[in-house]
Amino acid sequence: MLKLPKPPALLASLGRRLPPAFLSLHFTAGLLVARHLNWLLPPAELEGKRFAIEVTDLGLRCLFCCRHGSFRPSWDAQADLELSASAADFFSLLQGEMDADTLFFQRRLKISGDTELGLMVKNWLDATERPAWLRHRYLSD
Amino acid sequence: MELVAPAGSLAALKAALEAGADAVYLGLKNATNARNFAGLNFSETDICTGVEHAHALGRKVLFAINTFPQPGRTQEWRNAVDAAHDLGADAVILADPGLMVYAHERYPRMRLHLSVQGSATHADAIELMREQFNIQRVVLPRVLTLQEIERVTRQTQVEIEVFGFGSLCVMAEGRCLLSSFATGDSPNNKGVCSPAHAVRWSEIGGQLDARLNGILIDRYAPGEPAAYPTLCKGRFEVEGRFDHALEEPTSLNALGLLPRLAAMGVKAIKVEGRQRSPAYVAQVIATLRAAINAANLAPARYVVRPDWQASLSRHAEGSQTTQGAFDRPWK
Amino acid sequence: MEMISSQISLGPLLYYWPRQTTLDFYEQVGRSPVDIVYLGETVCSRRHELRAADWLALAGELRAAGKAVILSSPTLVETSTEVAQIKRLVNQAEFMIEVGEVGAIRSLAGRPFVAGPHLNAYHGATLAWLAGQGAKRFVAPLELSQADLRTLLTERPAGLQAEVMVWGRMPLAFSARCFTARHFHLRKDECGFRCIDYPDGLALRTQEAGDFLAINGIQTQSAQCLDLLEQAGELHGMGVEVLRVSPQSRGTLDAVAALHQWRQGRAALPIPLPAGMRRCNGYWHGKAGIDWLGQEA
Repeated sequence: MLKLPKPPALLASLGRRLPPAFLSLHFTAGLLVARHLNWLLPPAELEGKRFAIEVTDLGLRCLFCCRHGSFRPSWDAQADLELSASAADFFSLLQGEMDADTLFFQRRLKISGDTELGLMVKNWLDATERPAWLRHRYLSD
Repeated sequence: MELVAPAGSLAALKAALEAGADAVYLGLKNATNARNFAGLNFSETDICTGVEHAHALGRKVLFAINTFPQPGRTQEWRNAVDAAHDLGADAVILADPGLMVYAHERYPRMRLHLSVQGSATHADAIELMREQFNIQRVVLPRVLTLQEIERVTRQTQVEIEVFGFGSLCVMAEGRCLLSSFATGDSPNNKGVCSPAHAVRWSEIGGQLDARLNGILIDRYAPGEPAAYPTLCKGRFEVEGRFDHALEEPTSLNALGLLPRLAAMGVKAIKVEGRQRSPAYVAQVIATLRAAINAANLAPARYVVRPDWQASLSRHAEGSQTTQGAFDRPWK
Repeated sequence: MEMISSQISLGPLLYYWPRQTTLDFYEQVGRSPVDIVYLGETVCSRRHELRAADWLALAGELRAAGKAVILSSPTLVETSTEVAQIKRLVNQAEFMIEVGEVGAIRSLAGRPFVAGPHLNAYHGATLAWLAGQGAKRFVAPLELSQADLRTLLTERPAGLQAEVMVWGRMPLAFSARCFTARHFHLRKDECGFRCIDYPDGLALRTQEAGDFLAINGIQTQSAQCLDLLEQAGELHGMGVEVLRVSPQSRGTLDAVAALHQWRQGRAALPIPLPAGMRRCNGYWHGKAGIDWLGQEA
């Protein structure tokens, strides 16, 4: 199992006080950097869809959408798909170390909204090869 | 014994080969295969890359076209057979006799495997398919016991492949209409079971409801581990009792039976899960590779190592594994 | 008055009824307007209220009553005992066989048969293959919509009759495991034959008390009764020769009578369903099979 330190309470409370749109801006900036590094190229099926990511232990909720193949912050309070998990679980998901199914079955990942869109995102993330700096060795243990 | 791995994407295919699979099975992004899920499966370009990659390592690619051609749409399935041939697949996995006629006549030298969806449960069914289409291998339904597998293996010259790990189908595959009964889409007509587009999760006060086309399949207490609402694995009411009325969401795990399966003459062990991630594929295949190697090396001294079990249990649906129908505690 | 040529068939009894109930039922069937009767135990090889010889005797009586009798072979075959049963069934030459699974076709070795509803004949090439093996009639897969059925009928080889189930709980799935025994915490081999207490299967409801499925031993059925009686005319127009009614504890021969009245050009009477049973016809409309589109009874 991947072990990340618990986020300092200060950071968590800061997250709760910052306006969501401000957080979304930073979050999508991160996704865009990833896209420019050529490892997060959203498939056509995600076009026009609105997403919400909630990082439970940080008190963060980011809203973004996928337009013209790139990620943009969204000011729309509604999302087509909402994912919610802890920072450590989101990180292991991004690394490809944990399987979204496993996290979901253990009630560590919550999905609401369009389930088929969720499956699409999951399969897209699964199929995306991770860059070396992010990759967890699959067979480390 | 050959180790046959699922691949729902190129990343999973590479992970499987890296982890030691002898062959991978895959399908196109359409209704011609039984894992027709959103965002999953291969384009023809991906298959080309995958076949090259596998052949460079001396491994095989098995091409699943294991649904039933729908009325008026035979050509879509024939196109898939053509693609498998043209892209250099080492075998096609088919379920439908009408499609077998085409594959056998058009490509007499192509290896044909009878899919588990073909529901051949005894030697007569398998031998008929051999006599008619010269099938080389059959994937046995997960409903058979070890004893029945042994008998079938003796009674046919067709190679036998059995499931060694993954989600369990409690119903005879290829003949289950529960999914279309609830949603309109089934493994036979759309290549899906309990499809995601019909699934709605709703959580209120920690209680999680899983619905399929509005039908309540299961309801979880706060914190209780959940499962995908595959409808045969839901909890229902029968005569006032609420329970898994058909089947518990467990996984099949034949780790403990590998030397016996090998001794019976089983030719290949298949892992279920084209819908699962490359991480799942890599860990499950690496574990089974180690176990099969140990079983081959010294079958008499074979013991299941605790770390193998731990690794497989971690990925099991419902977090528990069983030997399933192989030893039928309920028989 | 125009007489319609559609034939009415009675599918195999899918439940385990007491011997006398079964014999009484078929005695009535003999006096009914049914044209074709499918006989035999297709679900569970442990059931024995009627043994193979009893079914054969019954077949003889129904034939004497003017019915075309066909013996149905089991749907899920696993044990060597079951394989031997099929061989015995196939070896009698008096009655035609309805094939429940593909293995039986090999034993028939080219002799004529009816391809049952669980053989997955979804397109013309498979129908042609079945006809080449000796099939004279096929029963369409239950999940076909009207549109798909129409297409399938245009693809069928000449001389192959089509049969469609129009009434009764739909058999949807088969398992190695017996769910009735499981419900009673009994082993399959020591099941106590509890399914004899459930003449229409054991109701399985959702946690919100919604009707969903019915458990019948190793078979899982729809809780709802398929009802395509109103579509009989369309089925006839599409070229379906045989309409199948599947036995339930109540209403079966009323459904047969309704079809008979329809083909004689007379208005049908309402059909009483077993207590609490609703109807469905979703597959016909290209929707979930559980749906009912039409007037509430």
